[in-house]
Amino acid sequence: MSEENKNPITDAIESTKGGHFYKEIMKDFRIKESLHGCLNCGTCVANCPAAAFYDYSPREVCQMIIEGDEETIEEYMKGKIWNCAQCYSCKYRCPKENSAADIVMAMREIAVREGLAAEALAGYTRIAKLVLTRGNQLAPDMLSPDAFPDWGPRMIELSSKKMEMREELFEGFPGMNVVDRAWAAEDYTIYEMQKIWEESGALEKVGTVFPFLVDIVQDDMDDKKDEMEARIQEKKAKLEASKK
Amino acid sequence: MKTVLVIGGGVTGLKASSELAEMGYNVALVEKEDYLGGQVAKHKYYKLAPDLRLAGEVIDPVIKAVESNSNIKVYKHSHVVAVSGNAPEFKAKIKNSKGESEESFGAIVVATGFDHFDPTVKQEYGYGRFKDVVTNAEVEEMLNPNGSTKGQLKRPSDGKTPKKIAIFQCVGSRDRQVGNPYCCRVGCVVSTKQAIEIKEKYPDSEVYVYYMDMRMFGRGWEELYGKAMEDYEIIFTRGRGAEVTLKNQQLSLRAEETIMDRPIQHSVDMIILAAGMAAGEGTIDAAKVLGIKQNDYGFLSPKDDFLSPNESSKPGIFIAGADKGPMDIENCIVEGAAVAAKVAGSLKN
Repeated sequence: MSEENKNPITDAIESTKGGHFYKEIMKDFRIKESLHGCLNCGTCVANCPAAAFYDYSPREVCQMIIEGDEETIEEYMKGKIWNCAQCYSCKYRCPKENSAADIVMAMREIAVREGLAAEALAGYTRIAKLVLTRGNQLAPDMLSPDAFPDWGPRMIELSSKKMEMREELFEGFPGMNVVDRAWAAEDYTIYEMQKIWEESGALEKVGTVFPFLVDIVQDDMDDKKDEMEARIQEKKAKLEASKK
Repeated sequence: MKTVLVIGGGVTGLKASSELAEMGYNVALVEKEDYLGGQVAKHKYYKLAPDLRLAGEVIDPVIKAVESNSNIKVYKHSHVVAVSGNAPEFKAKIKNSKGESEESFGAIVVATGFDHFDPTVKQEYGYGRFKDVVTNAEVEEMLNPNGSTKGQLKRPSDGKTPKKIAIFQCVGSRDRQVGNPYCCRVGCVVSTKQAIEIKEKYPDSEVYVYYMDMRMFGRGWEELYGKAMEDYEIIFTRGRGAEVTLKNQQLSLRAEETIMDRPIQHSVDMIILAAGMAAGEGTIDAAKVLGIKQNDYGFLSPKDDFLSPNESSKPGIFIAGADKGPMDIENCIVEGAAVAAKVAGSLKN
């Protein structure tokens, strides 16, 4: 159609189904079990806690996959899918037994792999750092009362005496009297955990989302590794000596 | 002359019996309840869609045609507990409080019908937990002047007339979660009819229908739907009722307004669940006793859906009506007559 004959209001539908991201998503084993057509009934949206507060709609997720438009999929992988709380209410209520939550999970993995997730996940850098370095994902220190006005005024009062409360609560439990992490894991545990991060390739994956973070953490990890390995050698030598 | 055994005294069984008796056959009609008329009588259906005609005007003549025909022997409060033999020589044991008797029959018609879906299973709707969540069958009984509330629509919790009423479509239908992916085929028109009846009786009330699709395929149904919107200002919202909660003694429902793309909450005084059709208890029992094929949902499977719609998987055993799947009253009467013709044909050979 020539430019001048083009209807100024109505867009012509041109299918762009079958693009790279669409194919990657359809390859995932979960999709077949998670999408059996969609009645557009809205049960999922009505039950979805994310849809009540954010720009997210599980129904739209299903419709988007059915339509398969490449541009829309890319846009979703960069943004909206990260609003899902993975509560699976959609799955347990959908009259077609669809699971937008599973589709979202598959899309998130692909988004990470394809380098589309960095912007959406930037806010989670602190959490990722804590997981990589301490093995916890949340710490009492991270919950500043200003960020959670919905927790009410008592939150302000309580957060001023976090340390005292924890000491009282966890008296006799070593490792719990900390507020910069949920609990203090032993050095050797952290060393083992970080070894798993590295050898499983998880660290590399995290690096695609938080490249700077991994650079920082890597140094820390290398130091810890040297220290732990020296200590292991020392212990081994002692053991050998005692045998003789 | 051979006798025909008809199992089920609902509208289909009644029509089949009277048609066969008129052709000169002897009929034994076995009904498990102590009244005839099936679900129509059980739930005191008041008016029928789409003409808002009294249900009694339809069911009473059908019952009368059976009761007044001397060729029909009616066994109320009775069950068929065992059947042996093959076409055209069946022996059936009929059991009731007086005892058991065995009789010979040339053919058997199964017209055991459906049961209203029990919405207790859909826990998110709160049926059974919240008193003011009721089923469409219960509303039929309320609207009937001979029913429990003498024709008044009353909230079960406090006996007051509800002002805001929501109707949920497709309860236990088109739903894989409860194992019923099929359409109940009558919910849309029954809800529209009930909404009109409520608005006629209580013009100040607000009636909201939460639907996925309005499937108005029957005679005069689409016109009724138009009337509901134009003349009665009933509000149809495209979104399936998703959840019901109780907030400060007020029912609150959640749904998505799918056309406007937004989740909504709505406070109402009463919620009517348009519960669909499930295979009746009698149908499941009959299938077991007779050894005939059922489909995935418990309904009876015809030998061939297109070519032998009234024959079961066994020769000499015929099926008709809502035991084959969801069916409205109008079509059940057609089925009753059709099966009678088929039985008569088979007994002549």
